Amino acid sequence: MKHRLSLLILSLLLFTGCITEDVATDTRRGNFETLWQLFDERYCFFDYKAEEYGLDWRKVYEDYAVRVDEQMTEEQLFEVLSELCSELRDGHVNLVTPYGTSRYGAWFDDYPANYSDTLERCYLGRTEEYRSSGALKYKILPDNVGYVRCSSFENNFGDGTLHEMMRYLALCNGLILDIRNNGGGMLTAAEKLASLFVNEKTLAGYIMHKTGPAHAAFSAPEPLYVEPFEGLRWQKPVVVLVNRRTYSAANSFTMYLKGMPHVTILGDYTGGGSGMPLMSELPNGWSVRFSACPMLDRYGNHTELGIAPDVEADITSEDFQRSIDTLIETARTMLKQ
Amino acid sequence: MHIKLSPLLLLLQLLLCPTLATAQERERTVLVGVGAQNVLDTYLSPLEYTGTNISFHSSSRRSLSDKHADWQFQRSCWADLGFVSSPTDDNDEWDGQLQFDWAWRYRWNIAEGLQLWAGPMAEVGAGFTYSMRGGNNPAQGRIAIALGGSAIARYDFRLWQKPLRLEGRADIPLLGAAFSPRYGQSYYEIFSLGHYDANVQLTHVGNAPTARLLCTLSAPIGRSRLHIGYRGEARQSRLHHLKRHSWLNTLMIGYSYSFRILRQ
Repeated sequence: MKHRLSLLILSLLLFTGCITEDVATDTRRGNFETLWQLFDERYCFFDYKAEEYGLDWRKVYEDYAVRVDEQMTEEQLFEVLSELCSELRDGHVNLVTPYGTSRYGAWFDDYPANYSDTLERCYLGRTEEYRSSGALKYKILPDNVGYVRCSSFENNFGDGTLHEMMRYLALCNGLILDIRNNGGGMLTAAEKLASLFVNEKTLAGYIMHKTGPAHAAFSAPEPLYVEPFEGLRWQKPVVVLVNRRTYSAANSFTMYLKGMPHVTILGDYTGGGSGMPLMSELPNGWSVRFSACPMLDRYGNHTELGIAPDVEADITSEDFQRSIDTLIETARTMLKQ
Repeated sequence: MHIKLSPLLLLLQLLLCPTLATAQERERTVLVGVGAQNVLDTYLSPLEYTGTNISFHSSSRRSLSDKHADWQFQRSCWADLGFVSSPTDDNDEWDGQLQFDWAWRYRWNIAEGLQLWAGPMAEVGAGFTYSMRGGNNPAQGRIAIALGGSAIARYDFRLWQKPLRLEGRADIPLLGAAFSPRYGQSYYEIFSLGHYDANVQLTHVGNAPTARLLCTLSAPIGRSRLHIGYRGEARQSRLHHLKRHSWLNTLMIGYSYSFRILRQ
């Protein structure tokens, strides 16, 4: 009996043996195959994008496979693989190589900028005329409206920073929160800023992850909540300014606040980017970033391709020439009502 | 006369042995090593990383009691730290692992100078792989427990009038549990949001074929023994479609010493 058991264990070990991954060799074809397969197994928006704009990942393989041969230079391979990445229409998909970083930019290039740092200076004034802490700049505009410019979520906000900012703006009639051109960063930073505007634990959306290589292999959506900030709640109206470059964690911030009673989203669609990106690499050492964990809004809808504003507005060329930011002025008008 | 113990009696013996024993000989061993490591973790990269590993091992071995001298108990600690690079040298990873195990083995005298010990083993371990590439998945964490088998073969012989000892130890975890993120799950979901999704998995030789071999040649020097040897280890898993392996080939060197504990 003991011998049989030992034999069984030994055979299992021999049968299972070494655990390895089949990876193509470091050739032009091998790198193409690895990239396509990596997306095929780990990218999270295939079914959604097939519905939205007819993405057919198998056809993408057929279209691009014929463009790859062993005679092409590495730089030419980079160009072809960059185009392949762009088929996903995802700002979170990047190929990082010595020849540059591939990036898809049509999600903002094809639309009005709706933001100008020159105009921002017109409202914030000189350096000594506004307060600043990390990615936050803020001041009280002449009509007693608070203006907060949040340019990034790259770093989390300190409790003291937010306390001090809200104390400074406490007597304002309303708040303009400008997250245009905010390319995102840490979700925890977005959650923390959003926590200033909720009175109770609030359902803000859902997050999922892939459970296997199949396109539709996903976990059940798990709720995302925003908890109220400790000892501080903003109760007055808020207008959040967004544009097509409001992306990733800033897109999530918009998702958290959209639909709240005293919050209005003003501007253009956000840029989207609702898939939390993970990293991997190709046999030639090039890094690949790809969306892996999709987030949904509180109604279960994808926000990968952007969130519609409550009130649409663009900076007009007439206003721009007169150094007026149409969005800020629209927000001020709304807050006066 | 060999004493046969039922599992229940053995357990009782293990619990009571500290009080029953009156004089126990213990052997403590400390080994350090350096060697080669091969790491694969498909959560981080599909590529195998190779590099250098440094190891530390200590163990304490004793008989269960004077009455049951054919049974030995050994507890061991294994600590490993590796620095490995991608095949193209574009990225590096740190890999660390800390293992503790407890083995109970029964002795058979096979031939003159040749002894074999074998029995059950329990182990617990934790480790990490940290990729310098960064991003939202810069690291992979591991924690696992397992029950398995452990065996030691020892051969005492003389060469050039010197008493030498050749000893080989093999450990194989058979059944246990291990932490693993799901295929595409981020650590943000697990630790920041507390979204657990079958993150503790049953492991067995089918999905986590793991084995360790330690072979040493030792010679007495004064009251101690000097050891030199080889350690090979394949720690592997295939959980939630994520593949992981750490293969070690290490040259070990160290010493052991024996002493007796007298109890009233």
